[in-house]
Parts: sequence; C-alpha cells; structure tokens
Amino acid sequence: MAQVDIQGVAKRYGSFTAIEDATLTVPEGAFFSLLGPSGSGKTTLLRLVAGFVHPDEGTIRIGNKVMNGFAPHQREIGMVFQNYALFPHRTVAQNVAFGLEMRGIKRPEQKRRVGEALELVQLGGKADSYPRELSGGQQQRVAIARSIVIKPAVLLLDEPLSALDQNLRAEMQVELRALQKHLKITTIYVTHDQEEALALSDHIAILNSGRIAQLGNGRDLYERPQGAFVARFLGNANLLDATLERQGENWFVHSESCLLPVRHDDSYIAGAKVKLALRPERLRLAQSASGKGSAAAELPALVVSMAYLGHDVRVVLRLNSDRIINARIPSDALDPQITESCKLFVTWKPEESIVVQY
Amino acid sequence: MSSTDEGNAPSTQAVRRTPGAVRTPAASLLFPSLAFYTALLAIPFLGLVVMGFLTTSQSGLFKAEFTLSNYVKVLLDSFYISIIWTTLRLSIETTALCLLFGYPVAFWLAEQSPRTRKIVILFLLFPLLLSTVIRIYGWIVVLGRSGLINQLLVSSGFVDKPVAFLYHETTVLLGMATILIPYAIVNITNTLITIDPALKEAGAIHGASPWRVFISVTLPLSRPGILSAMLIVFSVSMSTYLISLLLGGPRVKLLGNVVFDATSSFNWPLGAALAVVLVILTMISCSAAITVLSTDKQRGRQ
Repeated sequence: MAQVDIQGVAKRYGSFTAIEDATLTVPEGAFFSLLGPSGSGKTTLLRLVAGFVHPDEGTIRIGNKVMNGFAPHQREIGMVFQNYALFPHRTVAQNVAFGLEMRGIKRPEQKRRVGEALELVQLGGKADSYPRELSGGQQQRVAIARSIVIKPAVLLLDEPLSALDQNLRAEMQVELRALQKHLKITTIYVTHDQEEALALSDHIAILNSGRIAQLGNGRDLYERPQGAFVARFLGNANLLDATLERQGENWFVHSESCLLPVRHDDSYIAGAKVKLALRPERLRLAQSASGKGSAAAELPALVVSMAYLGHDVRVVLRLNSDRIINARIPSDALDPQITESCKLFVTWKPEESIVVQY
Repeated sequence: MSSTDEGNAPSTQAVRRTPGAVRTPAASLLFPSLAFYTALLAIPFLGLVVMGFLTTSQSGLFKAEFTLSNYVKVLLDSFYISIIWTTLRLSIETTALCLLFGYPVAFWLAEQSPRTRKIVILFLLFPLLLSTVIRIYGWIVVLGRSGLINQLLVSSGFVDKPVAFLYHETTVLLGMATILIPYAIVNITNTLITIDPALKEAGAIHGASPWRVFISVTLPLSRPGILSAMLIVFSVSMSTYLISLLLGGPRVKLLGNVVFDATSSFNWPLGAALAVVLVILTMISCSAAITVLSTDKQRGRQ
C-alpha cells in the first residue's frame, strides 16, 4: 500500500500530446478514478503509472520511490485489464499464482494465497477451470484475484467493467468497492462512465484532451464544476451563454434576454462572459410565471418533445432564442396537463444555478 | 483427437435439428474434396501398399505373386536401415535448425508494423517462386570445388587445394534448412501475431521480466505455430529428393533417392515398399509431435 504521486507528467507521440502537465496525488488506500471521454489521456496516464510507457517529462512516485526508468515488473503493481487478459494456457489457479511464481514464493504458500484470493472473489470452486470455461463476470473475478494476490502497492484497473452487461456491472461495482475497502489498497480506476466513477471513487480526476480538467470528490465536481467541459461531461448540464451582472449585494446573469439570479461567489467579475450551467434533473416546469420578476430563476420555454424513462421524464424544451435544453422531471412530479408544444416556464432554485468559465 | 470432434460439432447439431434427413448438409459439402482425395490419394496409396507385397520381376515391372520380401528387406537390410536412419536424423535436424533460427526471426517479425511484416514475408516467400533446382544450384555455385568459397580460401592461402564441401550430410542439411526455413518463419509469425499484447503486459505488470514473459506467456501460446512449422518442415524434409541428389550426390542418399533408384531400375515392388515405409514413418512422427505438443489436451479437459 502506498501513495501515488504524479508530478508534471507529459507524454507526447510526435506532434500528438497524449497527456500534458498531469499533477495529482492518490492518497494511500484511496479509490481514485480517472474519468474522461475516449482520447482524453486517461488510459495513457494509467499506462504511465504501470510503466508500459515512459513520461517525456515529470516524475511518478509510488510510495516515496521515483518510478521513472523502472520496468513494469519492478513496480509492485497489480492490474486488471479491459478484456481481463487472462492467460488462456493456464488454469484459474495458475493464472492467479502467476505473480507469486514470478516472485519465487514457495509452492505451499502460493497454494494458500491463491486459495485465499479465489475465496475473496467467490471463485473457490473454479480453481482448475480454464478461463474460456468461465463467464465474463467470472473471468473478471479471476483477473481481480490475480492482481490482488501479490499484495501490490497499487492496483490499476483499466475500464474493467466495460465488457459486462449492465446488471452485472452494478453488482461488480459494489463488490469491487467492498473488496478495495477491505484490502485498503491504493486503487487507480480508469473509466469513461461518470456514474461508475461517482459510485466508486473517493477522488476523481476528469481529463479532457490530455489535461486534467478538474480534481476533486464526486460532489465537488458535480456541484462546483470548474469550466464548461466538466459541467457538460459530468451530468450533461445545459449550458447557456451569459454575462455576469451585479446589483448591490446580489449577483445575476444576463442570459436569454432575462436577468437570472445566481448564488454569490467571490471570483465573479461584473460584465464577465460566462456560461450558466443548468442540471437537467434540477429543472422544474411551471404553467405560469411566478411573478417575482428578476428575483425568479425562470425562463419561458416551449415543450418540443417528452420521453418517458420510468423514474423520470425527459423533456426537451426550446427557449425564446431557439436554444434547446433538456430537463428531467420525476414522473410523479410532472403536471399531466403539460404535453408537447405547451408553452410554459422552466424554473430552478437560484442557489442551484452554476456559473462556469468558458 | 479432439480437433476432429470439434470439426464434427456443427454437423451433429444439424442432425439433431433435422432427424432422419440426409445425413448432414455439412458432411455432403465434404463430398467433392473427399472424392478427390479418395480417387487421387487414398486409392493410389492402397495400390502402393499392395505393390509392395508383389514379387520383383526380371523381365517386367513386377510379378503378381505375394511376397513379404520387399518389406522385410526395407526393414531389416542394414543398407536400407541406415538410409531410413539418415533420413529421419536429417529431417529432425532440419526441423530443429528451422525452429532455432526461424523463431527469433518470427519473433522480430511479429513485433513489426503490418506493413514491414508484409514486405519481409514477401521477401521470405520470394525464393519459393524459384524452382528448387535453381536454388540448389545456387549452393553449388557457392560451395562447389571451384565455387565462391573455395576460390576465396585458395586465393587467400588458407588452404592448398579446394575443400570438398559438397556431398556431405552437413551440406545437405544446410540446403534443406535454408530452403525450408521460410515455412517455419511464416507459420510461427502467424501464431505470434494472434497473441493479445495485453497478455504480455499482464505478465510484465505481475512481475515477469521480459525473458520470463517470453518463457511463461509467449512461448507456450506460440505452441500451435511451432507445431505447424514442425509438421510442415519435417514432412517436406522426410520426402527430400532433389536437395540430397544435388548436394549429397552418391554419398548422401535419403529415402526419396532410393525410392527413385528402385523405380528407375524397374524394381517397382521395392520402390513401393520403401515409399510406404516413408509415408508411415512420417505419419507416426507427425502424430507423435501432435500428441506431445497439441493444446487440444487442455481444451478437452473440463
């Protein structure tokens, strides 16, 4: 178990920058997710920690040891690959024993630790099977057992659940998190699935085009996104062009030809061009205006379409400027009189409006 | 062999789906090739086996009288035993050399970009477009009494008179190995490139040095390629005729050469017996290799 320190790391392939100026710390025993769309550099960052690629700049420390120049096999890392990468010519037990064999652990102890690891992932009865005889979920568990049996300093997971179907995925998320907490193992998890990252992680780094867009815990990232990319990537926020305005002690944004109240923040500069980020699930629909004028956070809108999604209804709305925004209204909170092509007002709590820089 | 079972699997399903129908559509698709091989391979081979039991004739090709003497001669006469032994030994040596020198090339090739790989394989296969005779004459030009190497050796004063490189077993081995090595390289490369690179990374990250990744992951997973390379190189080596004729001369005779000698001296029954022994020896050796090296054993285990 160890802390992982990444300091000013950059990796370029010719003129393509895979990762630039990455600095982050994964605290000992933490579950840390690298979240981003494909091509954002999250896998490159993981492979830099693994030692499959070497940084052009910066240092990577595991524990207090600088890892630059060390080959993967010298790093005391366990890793779960996207397609499991189980050795097809080895049984489940032999797969799990691989790292122990390489470390010259004696047979009886190998056997004991392999047995323990397989129990931990609930695969005790499958020791003598070959990987191809197992289901995807079982193969996943073998891959996890193989990576934790060596008691690695760090556990790396590269989109390990992406090949599983949705129900199994949710189940594995819960198990993975429980296992990680039980073993108190420092974990770096790569995913493009924001919900997965939120569900599992102590800390999340959101990556965009090779740079870390924002670091923090899930709530921070969701409630206080710094920048339009994070607001949109995490939770699909609707983004409206806006200008900050100050009236006495109160701050507003001028957007969609309306003056809308926003919560106060010390970083605001009057007249600054910003984006107003509206979370679809925080929007509500009202048949008529509240009559509170500029004190109300509301915009006139037209219902373009509605889609019933079970727990909630996705309502697509067109604002006066022809801008399209999405709202997700809980099914039971939706006024049955509201139908397609209704004219109405979309409202939200001013303290829930988020102002982000471009 | 379980590979045959696998081959039958789809057809048994077809039987289950349409009970009582014409045996299986899949099996009927096999008919043309089966007929072809029966008519042109199995039946002539049976003829060969029978011919081996007929009596040698002074006036004709054979006399239609049953005898065991041909097979007895091939299997007990020390002349033929030594030829069988030389053929086997040279074939095993050729196979070993092709694997030993072919594997590193294949390993390197598998790491190259598909483009480079294509170009190199094209160059490797290019000699196969030439007739074997021409390639062997190439070796004669290099190794002959007044060949390239001898001219160099004599003119530089290393030796007084030309060295007799030709007509040695080693020379035949060299010829066989150089001519057959492309088969080994191509077969092994094709298996190596199918190994998921993530498997090597999984090996490395869990503590295996590059050498141990090779020993524990790459080598065992390339076994099918090694096996097919072995089978091809060995079978072709066993039936070598031209290479040993031209590079081995009268001194190095292989089974293929004595089959030719027997048939061209109109002793067809003896030639047939020799040919049958050659085919059976090759079959036994190949199935032994398959049993030892095949990965099917693991597949069959549940």
